[in-house]
Amino acid sequence: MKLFEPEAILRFLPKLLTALPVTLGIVLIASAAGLLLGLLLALSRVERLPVLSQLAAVMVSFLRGTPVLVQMFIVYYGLPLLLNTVGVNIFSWDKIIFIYITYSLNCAAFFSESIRSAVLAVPKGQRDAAAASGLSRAQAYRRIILPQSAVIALPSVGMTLTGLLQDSSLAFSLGILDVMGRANALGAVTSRVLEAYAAAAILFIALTIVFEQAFRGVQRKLAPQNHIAKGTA
Amino acid sequence: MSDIILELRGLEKSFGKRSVLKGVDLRIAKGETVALLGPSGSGKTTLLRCLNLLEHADGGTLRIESQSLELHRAGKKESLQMCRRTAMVFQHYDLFLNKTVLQNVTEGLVIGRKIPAKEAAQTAMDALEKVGMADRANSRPQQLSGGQQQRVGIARALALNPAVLLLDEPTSSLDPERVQEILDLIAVLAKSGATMLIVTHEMAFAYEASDRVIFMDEGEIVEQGPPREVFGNPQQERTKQFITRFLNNKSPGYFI
Repeated sequence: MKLFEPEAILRFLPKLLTALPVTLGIVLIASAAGLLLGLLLALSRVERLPVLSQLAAVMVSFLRGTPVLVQMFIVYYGLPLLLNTVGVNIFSWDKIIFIYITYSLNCAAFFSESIRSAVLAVPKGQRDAAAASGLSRAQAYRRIILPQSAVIALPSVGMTLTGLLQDSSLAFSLGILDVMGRANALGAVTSRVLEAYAAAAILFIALTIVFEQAFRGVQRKLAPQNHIAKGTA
Repeated sequence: MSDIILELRGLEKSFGKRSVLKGVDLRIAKGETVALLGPSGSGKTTLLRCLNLLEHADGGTLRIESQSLELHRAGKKESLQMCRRTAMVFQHYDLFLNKTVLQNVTEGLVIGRKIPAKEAAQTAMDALEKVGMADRANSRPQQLSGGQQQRVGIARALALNPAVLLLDEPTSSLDPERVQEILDLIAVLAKSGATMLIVTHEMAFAYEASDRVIFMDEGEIVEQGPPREVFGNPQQERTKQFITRFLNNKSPGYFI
C-alpha cells in the first residue's frame, strides 16, 4: 500500500459531494438567520434602544470572544437544560438543529458589527434629508439608510461568510455528517486519512472561490451606485 | 402680508448644559422672504432644525397653517404631520445617494405624502424644470456638480409644496460662481410668492432679496426689520458691529 494515493482523492470527491447539502445547509440557514438577527442587534445598538442595546452588546461581545466550538457545546448541552427549567422539552431535537442555532447566533454577532459600522458610515445628512422629506424613521431606514449600508457592509459580510463556510466543518465534532464529518468517516474506513482530508480541502477551496466570485459579482453590480458622499463633488 | 402662516413662541433648546436658543419668537407671513443672519453658533441653524422637527426642542409652541404643536411634548404622529408642512434645503445638499435625481424628488411625495407615483413624477418634473435640472432627471447625485446638486435639493423641497421653505446656508459649500447662480434662483422663488426662511451669510443677498432680516446672536433675536433699516440704521450695538464688519469690505455708500 502506497503512503499517498492521489487517485483516492478522486474516488473520495463524489462521496464528499453527497455531504455537500449538509454543509451548505448550515451556511445558508446560519447566514439567513444571522443576517436577520444581526440586523436587529445592529439597529438596537445604533438606535440605543434601552435594555435591548445593552443586551445586544453583551451578546455580541460573548459570541465574538469565544470559540465557535465552545458555543456549539454550550448550546448543545446547555440550551435543553435551560429550556427544561421553564418546562420546554427539546432533548429529543436533532443535533443539526443545535448546529443551526449555534452558527446563526455566531454569524449574527459578526454580521451585526459589520452592519452597525456600515449604518454609522452613511452620512448623517441622509437621515436629516429623509426626515425633512417627510419619511418616518422606519421608512428612512428601509429606503435610504439600509440600501446604502448594504453596499458598504458587503465586503465584510462576504468575509464573514467564507469564514462561516470553514467554521462549519467543526460541526463534525457533534457527529454531524457534513463534508468534514464524511471525510473523517471515509478516512477511518479506508485508512486513507490524508487523502480524505485532502479531498475535503479541495472541496472547501472550490466552494470558497465560488463564494468570493459571487460576492465580487454582486459588488461590481452595485458599484455604480457606490456612494460614500464625496462632499462637494 | 398680514396672513401669518408660521408662528413660533418661546422656542427653547439646549445641548447638554449649553443653552442654544433662549425663548425665540418668530412670525412669518404668507409669501414673505425672511433672512436669518448672525455669527456662527448664534443658533440660526438650530432654529431652522427645530422648525422642521429635525431637532427636538425643549420648549415652545409652533403653529404652521392650522396646526399647533407644543414642541417639547409632541407625539410621533403630530411631529411627522408638522414636519410635512415645511421642507428643508441643506448646506451640504444631502441628496439621497442611492437614488436618481428624479427619485430624490419623488421620494418625499410618494412615500412621505402617499401621492400616486405618476402624479408625483409629474410634480417632480415640474419642480426640476423650475430649477433647470429637468434634463438631468436620470442622473445620480454623484455625477452632478455642487451647484447642480443644490438645484436638485431645492427642487426636492419645492415639490413638497411646503407652507414654509427652510434654507440652511444653501450656498455655503459652493464656489463663488455657483453661489450667485443659486442665489438668483432663490430670488426668483421669492418673487414667485414662496414663503421662505433663509439662514445665510450672503449679506448682499439678504439685503436685496429678502422682505425682512432677523439678526440673531447667542440664541436670541437681537434685532429685526426691513433690510434697509437693519443694514442702514441698526439700533442695537451687536447688530452694528456685525454689519460694520461686513460693510468695511464694501465701497462707501453701498446701501444708499
